[in-house]
Amino acid sequence: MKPLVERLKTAYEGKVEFRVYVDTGDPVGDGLAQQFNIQYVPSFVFVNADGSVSGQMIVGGSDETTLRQRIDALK
Amino acid sequence: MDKKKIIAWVVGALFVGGVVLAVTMPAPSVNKAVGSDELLQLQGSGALVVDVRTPSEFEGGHVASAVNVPLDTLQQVAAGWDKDRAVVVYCETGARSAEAASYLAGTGFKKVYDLTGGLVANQSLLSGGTGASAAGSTGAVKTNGKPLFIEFATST
Repeated sequence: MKPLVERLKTAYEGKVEFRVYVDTGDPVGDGLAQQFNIQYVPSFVFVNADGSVSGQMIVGGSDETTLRQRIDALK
Repeated sequence: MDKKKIIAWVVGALFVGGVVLAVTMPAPSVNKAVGSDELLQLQGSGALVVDVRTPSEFEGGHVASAVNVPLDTLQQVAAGWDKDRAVVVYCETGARSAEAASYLAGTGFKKVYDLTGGLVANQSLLSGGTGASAAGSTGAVKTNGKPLFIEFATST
């Protein structure tokens, strides 16, 4: 998923913040993983600018079209 | 020796023998099939979760915080593990993990659990946690004023 996410990060630069957490030791990432009860990686969560979560999270691998649709739906 | 004394001696000998046997015999190992809920419970209580698939399968997606020990490297890697710690093994369909569980139980690991049917039969692991239903909850995540994309990734 890394090349795809990197591509999206470039495409949405300045418009959307991208955070990638690997399942080791980052306290912020661990806190969010606990908040969203992450059981499987990769998992994707989409958050509006006001902090509200947009739609259901995606668990497991995904494709560019799906991820772009979800990002474009963010407010 | 009267009959009562003989019976007392026999009972005593059996009791002492039983105690000696219980103390000297190793604790029986557990090699148990579990489902996804039990896997997560065991993980929460400190069990080591081991994905015995290949590195490329692991990179494609895996149980959060699982370690990847492909079946062909298990013998070497597991030699350094604490045999008293619970170990949960899983793979794609359950074939490789069954082999791994048998190996671990056979080499003295006391609590070995095998995810029955592997990831294929346990799709609930892919349905997301309770946070998946948090949609619309204002202020759920601190942002810097922009929309936010979060990936919990398999590697950097």
